[in-house]
Amino acid sequence: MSAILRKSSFFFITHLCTFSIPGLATIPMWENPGMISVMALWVPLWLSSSVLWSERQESYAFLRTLPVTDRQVVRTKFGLALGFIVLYWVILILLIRRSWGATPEYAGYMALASLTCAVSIVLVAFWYVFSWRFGTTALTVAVMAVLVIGLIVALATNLERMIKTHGIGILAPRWLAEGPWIYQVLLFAAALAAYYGLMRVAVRVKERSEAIL
Amino acid sequence: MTPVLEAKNLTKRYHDFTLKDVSVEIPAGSITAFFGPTGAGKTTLMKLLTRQIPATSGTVRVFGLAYDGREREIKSRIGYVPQEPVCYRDRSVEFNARFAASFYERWDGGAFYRMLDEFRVSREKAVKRLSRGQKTLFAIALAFSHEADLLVLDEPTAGLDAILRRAVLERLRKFVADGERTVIVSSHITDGLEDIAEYVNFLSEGRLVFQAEKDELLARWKRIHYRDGALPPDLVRQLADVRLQPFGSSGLTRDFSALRERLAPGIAAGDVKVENARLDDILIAMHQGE
Repeated sequence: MSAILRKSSFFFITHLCTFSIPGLATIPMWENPGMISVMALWVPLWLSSSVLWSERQESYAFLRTLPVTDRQVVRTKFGLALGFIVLYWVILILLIRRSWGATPEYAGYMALASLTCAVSIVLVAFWYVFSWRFGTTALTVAVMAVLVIGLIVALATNLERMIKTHGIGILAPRWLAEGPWIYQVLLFAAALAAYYGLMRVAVRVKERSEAIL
Repeated sequence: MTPVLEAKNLTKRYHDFTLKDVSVEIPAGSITAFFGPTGAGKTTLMKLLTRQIPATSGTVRVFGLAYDGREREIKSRIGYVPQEPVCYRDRSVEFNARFAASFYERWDGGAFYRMLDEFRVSREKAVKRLSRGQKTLFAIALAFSHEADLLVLDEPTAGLDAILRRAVLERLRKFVADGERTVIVSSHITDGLEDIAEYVNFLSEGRLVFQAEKDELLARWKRIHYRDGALPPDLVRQLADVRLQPFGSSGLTRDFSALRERLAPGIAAGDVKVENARLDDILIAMHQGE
């Protein structure tokens, strides 16, 4: 499985670097912590792009000739993506702690990071199922559409507020931050449950599908 | 002989093609060939036998095991050569070999690279830069390098020149020489394969038209050369693939033993000659006679 892991992780690593390096560099330099809200909203987009490019480079027809089952392939891919989502979350939390440690804003930004990572968990699983059911051409069209829409939404909902107040532009994280901490745990638990459910669906879809061959 | 592979009522439905109800038993230690015209369903069958694609219905057992729950174990003992090369096409031959090797417990890298050198396939080149024949040879080298017990090859000689084709066929013959390892091969041409195959199957329009031992088939089917008028008209009507030739005509009989007595006078008079039919001619006659 390590060969699949190594082969598939390339775009996840490059995207993670692209995501984190500007953040780590610009926040201290520009002293603009509001940047984090944009970074957090871009997590699902970076992960969608990682899935897209790694799937476009994959050769499932080759894997089918090798002694590896679809179940193992699916688990490896899902495990890899989940690992990277955790890394995105950790990086965001580190940046947030650095900028807002022990301030009231900390909880809000942490809730934003949790929310976007939880959404990413489900979105990534959905992309895998979509890709294995309809093929990489359909995946490319769908992900590109989501990337464009997502970028517009991320900018439109945040830019003005980020520039003026360095605050969060959307309501959900504030609502999440003001609730009990268990809400965020439940959010992740629900996302992981959905992820596990979609992984089981993905195994069945992949075993029956020829769209990827 | 114990079958190394058994398929029962195998069906695969696509919107524009159906492989219908194929049942085969492949004896261990043999070379079994599947012939048929382009679009007959050979590639679909090879993919079904090796679980590259799921069947609509029917079962496949390999080494006495069903794929469900034992797929990894079964596939580790199969070497598969697809019609179109499947691998990471942008990456080098060496990368693909290392990638594949990581899945096999019994990987013989030395044998793989020796075969590449013999076939003059560059290990540094990206697979997409190889010629069609080199890609096939690369796939053959991969299939031969993990000590498989069963080789399944889909059109393995397509794109190869005569020398390489002979080299590949010779390797297949050696592969089964110990009587324990088995080869299944599909092709739309019989060129060369008729010499090494022991069992012959013919697919047409998604159906398995016949299965036979090659020697038995060649004993039954004969080409009869005759001077015009030397054979009674009812006998000539029984012949297939009748051809006009400079000194008479020739045709194929599908049951030589039934005609032997009636042909004897003509053979004695020198007006009739009997020779072994070519497998190609038999397959075409069968295809046309359906």
